[in-house]
Amino acid sequence: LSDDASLIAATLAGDTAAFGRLVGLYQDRLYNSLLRVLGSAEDARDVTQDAFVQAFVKLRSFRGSSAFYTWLYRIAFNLAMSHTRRSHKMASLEGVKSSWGTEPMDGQPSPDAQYLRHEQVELVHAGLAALSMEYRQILVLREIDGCRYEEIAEILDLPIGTVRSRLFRARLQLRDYLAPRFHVEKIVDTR
Amino acid sequence: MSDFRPHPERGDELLSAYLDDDLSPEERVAVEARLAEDAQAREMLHQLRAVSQAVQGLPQEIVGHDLGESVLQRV
Repeated sequence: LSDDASLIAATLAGDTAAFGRLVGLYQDRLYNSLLRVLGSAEDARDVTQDAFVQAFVKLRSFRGSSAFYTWLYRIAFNLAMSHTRRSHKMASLEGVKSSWGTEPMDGQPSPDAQYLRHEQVELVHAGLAALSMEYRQILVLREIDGCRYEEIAEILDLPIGTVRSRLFRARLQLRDYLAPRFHVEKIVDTR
Repeated sequence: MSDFRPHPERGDELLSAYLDDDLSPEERVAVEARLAEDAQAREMLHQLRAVSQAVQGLPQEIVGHDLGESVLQRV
């Protein structure tokens, strides 16, 4: 059994501390994604917690046909969508600026972060915030979480063809936002 | 060879999927043939890659404390 499967089995057998360890395994990854989707550190923390609570309540319905994090992300991204609809808030830079400079995690997809100037980071984050929620979600899942199209399709409940076309349009919109403000070549040259 | 580009946007969608290595073998062959002969396609791929790398370059943020306890208090 994988670590996830063992912890899920232990939780279902009544060992709630095992679920606490599952939270520890995934909280930072999920929080980072939700931060880019919601634009606010406070909202991202709230939705991360809510997602784990809902995952605990629904854990018996997890069949193990997909990875635990895929299932968790599906819960979390649905909550993020509801949260945005409820609060009618546009993503803001405020909560993110205050948390910049926190320690980078190991094993993440890109080593660029430490080399990008803050103004570049701010610009990219502002570009994400200017997109629709649908475009932000799909870009975050692909570029930040490194999900494959099949996983994105499962998390967002979309056909694969829609994942492909939506991701392309999201990239185009972000390019159109960034291009007049910052030459995209410079972003590549920071690697 | 079959045509995977019924209209320009569809062709550029394939460039985006090529970037993600998420194409069928036939689509990959068609995209690589297009890239070999079409400078605009190469430029589009370059731009899509730059945007992708820009988002990947955002710093990783962490919660800063263990959420496990507060989650377990709520369940």
